[in-house]
Amino acid sequence: MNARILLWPGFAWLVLFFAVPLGIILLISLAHRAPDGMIHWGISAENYLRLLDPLYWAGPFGNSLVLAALTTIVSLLLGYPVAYAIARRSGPVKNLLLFLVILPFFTNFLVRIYAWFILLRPEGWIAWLLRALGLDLGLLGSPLGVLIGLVYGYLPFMILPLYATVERLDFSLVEAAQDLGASRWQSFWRIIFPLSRPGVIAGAVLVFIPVLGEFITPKLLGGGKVPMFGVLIEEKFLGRVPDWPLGAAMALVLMSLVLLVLARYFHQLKESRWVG
Amino acid sequence: MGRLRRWADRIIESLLVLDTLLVYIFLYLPIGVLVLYSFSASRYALVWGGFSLDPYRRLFADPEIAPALLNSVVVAAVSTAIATILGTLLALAFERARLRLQGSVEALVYLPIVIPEIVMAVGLLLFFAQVLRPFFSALGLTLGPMPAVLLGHVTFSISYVMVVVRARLRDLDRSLEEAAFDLGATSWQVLRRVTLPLLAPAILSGALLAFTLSLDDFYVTYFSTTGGSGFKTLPLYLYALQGRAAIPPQMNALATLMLLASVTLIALALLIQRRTRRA
Amino acid sequence: MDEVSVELRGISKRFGGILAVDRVTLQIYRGEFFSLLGPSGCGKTTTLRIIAGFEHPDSGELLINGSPATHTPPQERDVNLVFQNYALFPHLTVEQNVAFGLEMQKLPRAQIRERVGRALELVRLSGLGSRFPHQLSGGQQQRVALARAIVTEPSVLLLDEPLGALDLKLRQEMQLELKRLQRELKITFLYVTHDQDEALKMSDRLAVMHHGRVLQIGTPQEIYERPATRFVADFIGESNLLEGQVVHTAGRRAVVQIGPLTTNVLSDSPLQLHQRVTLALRPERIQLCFPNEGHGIWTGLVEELLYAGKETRYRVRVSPEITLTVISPGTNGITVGERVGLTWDLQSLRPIPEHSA
Repeated sequence: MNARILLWPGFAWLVLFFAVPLGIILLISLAHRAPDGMIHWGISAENYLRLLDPLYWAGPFGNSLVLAALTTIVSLLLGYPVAYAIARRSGPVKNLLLFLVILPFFTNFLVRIYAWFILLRPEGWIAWLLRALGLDLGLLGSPLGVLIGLVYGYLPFMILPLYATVERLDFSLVEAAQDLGASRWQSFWRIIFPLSRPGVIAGAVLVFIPVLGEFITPKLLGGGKVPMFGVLIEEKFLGRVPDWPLGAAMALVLMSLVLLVLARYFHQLKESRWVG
Repeated sequence: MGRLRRWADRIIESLLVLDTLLVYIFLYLPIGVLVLYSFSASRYALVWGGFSLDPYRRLFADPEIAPALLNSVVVAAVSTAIATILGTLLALAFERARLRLQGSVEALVYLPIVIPEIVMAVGLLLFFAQVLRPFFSALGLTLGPMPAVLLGHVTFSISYVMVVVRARLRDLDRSLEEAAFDLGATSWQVLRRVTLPLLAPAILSGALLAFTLSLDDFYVTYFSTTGGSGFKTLPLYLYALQGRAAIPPQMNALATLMLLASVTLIALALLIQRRTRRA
Repeated sequence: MDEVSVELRGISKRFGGILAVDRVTLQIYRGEFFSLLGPSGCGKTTTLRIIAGFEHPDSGELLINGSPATHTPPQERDVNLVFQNYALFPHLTVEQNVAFGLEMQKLPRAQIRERVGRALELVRLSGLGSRFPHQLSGGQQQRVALARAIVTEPSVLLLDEPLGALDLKLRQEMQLELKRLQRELKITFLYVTHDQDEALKMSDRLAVMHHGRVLQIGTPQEIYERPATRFVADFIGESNLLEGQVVHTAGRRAVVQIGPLTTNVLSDSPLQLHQRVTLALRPERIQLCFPNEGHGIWTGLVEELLYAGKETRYRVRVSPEITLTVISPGTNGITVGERVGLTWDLQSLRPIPEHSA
């Protein structure tokens, strides 16, 4: 028996239902949408040229990039201490803490966002608390509300690779640093943090990429007032005025952005063992 | 200097503990509120009206819930079965055969994991609209929403199963398979009697992952059914409920039950993992 | 004893840029306990894996029981391997592990049961058949691996450092056990080890390997008493290696000058006058005596002394450039700084025929 035969079923499936669809996206992105909504096949860059419009970049694309960056930074700031705290524990406590991080991550995304919908709405506890403090922030339907939802949705993607890297670190290095006169903060900042770089990068990539393509969070928590890449793509395909060629071009631009990020950091992802 | 430093260290340490505590509160606050509200007597999902099991009664009375649940389970079960077989075969091929162009083939298999899901969803929508549906109608057939969703779910699950199984395969002691060959087993016998039984836990966790991903999926299902018209899985049903002007209270009950199901699934997965680690 | 069981003819194998096995030629006779001995990385395990069929030689020929086997797949070779890490199937019980090879031959169930039972009895594991490998001790796992390999009655049993993972006491016990098994089964054992002690004790014959090459083949006695190369002389036991020049010959006798010293040498083949020669002298073959009694061959100064209970090691300087290691049983009251005489049997001082290496 030749083990090569085993490749074919899965490979053929992915070619037919994954590679071919990607090819169709490319073809349609080069086509033209007639005023009546029909697609006129052809090869032109008009859809891509339309995407150069600063309105897109100031609006949805800019929102996506800024929110993805903010989500990544906030997740890192919130997640690193947690990952560190878990990694430094041992035995059942460690497993429990880790389990508690993963658990919400295994519940349905829509459920989790809906839970924030309850919390963030104007009559909710948080808004009430903020009003009591004299802050009247409209959370639901604001970029801040979307950011909270995004951080909530993607925090485990940051914590898990961070944990995996920190856990493997040799902590006698910290003792060595302290022995040489470094304070705890110095030994962390000079030793531990640089050594956990692969985990930081892996976490950042794992948060940044999916947030770029997000659609549900901005739609439900942004209430249509915080447009993002994903929301726009959905509108172009399933909205009232479909424009498939433009939507296809957007999807490809999104994918290219993601692949660019990946190409830059792929080996670090591998190093942190979060890819194959 | 020394005292200042000790103070700084102590403050930083307390901040770390505080941050960790806040993160766990952050993670569980919404879930707690959700579960609480699922026992609210109010006619609106977002209003607390005293304890009651009413939302659950309403949920089970909703005529749309049973078909959505059934659709979700059928799609998850069938797509998991297919994806598990295909993904396991891919893992075996990658680890046990020398392939030409292995790099490019692997890139294709890893790509579904790394690109945003919405891109894959868009691709499938276009593929169904431009290729598969015309092809089916040329044959005098129609491609229903269920098969379309199934196709999509298999497509994104294969790669995940492959990654899980392959990791285990890589760690598998090669000398076990060599010992079987040495004792006279053919390639097929080695695969069936040694490799697959040893991979079983990984295949099972790969399948569990595929099942969870399928139950959870929104993007591919939503786009494959062009916006969930006429065919709803649980996530699509949830989405539709949230789209209503006044969210009905069964939303909370459904969310809570789905939470419970996820906890059960993950507990099951961990149990399997622990049992296999002991062996 | 003369029938050849495994024959290697000029086998070579390269991994990347490294020649792991370099033109190895060997004949292993039926029913023999043959060892491949060498330091790690010498190519002995690769040689074994070539015989088992897991590696394919780049050149050369392999014969098993007289028929060419270079390209035979492992499952069709009449040899079984006992793996270094045992490679017991963790998902199968002891019985199922042992039965595996017989099931592959599609033997009737009753026969399998009977033969598995006998094999387990042979390795003294009766009664543990329904355990899983992880429920057994290291020594027991070792026995299961042995039972699994012998139950199909291969004509050759390959053993890859099978005792490497065991502690000293268990190891010595298993050495005796393996010898007993080999006597009872009368099959060829090809044993790979880096432990010279083990190889000398257990083997009928052994081959010493280094850098992928076979340096010497012979009985333990031949290898120990007549090392063919400096490496063998030093790797097997210990040797004082002395470089000198032949200054007088008379038939098989010769006089060799080593620095300012001279000594008589008895050699198997006549040495040439003025030839450079390396002499090997085992530390335990040197006796120490009082220096002024006239029968000492050389005299020297004790520079170091290490007492290790059953024996004492000395470093004795016999000339400004030359120190010898001497091992004597017990102590004989000699102290550091003392002058001693050194004597040895003429047969103990072996000229090493090869020139370099």
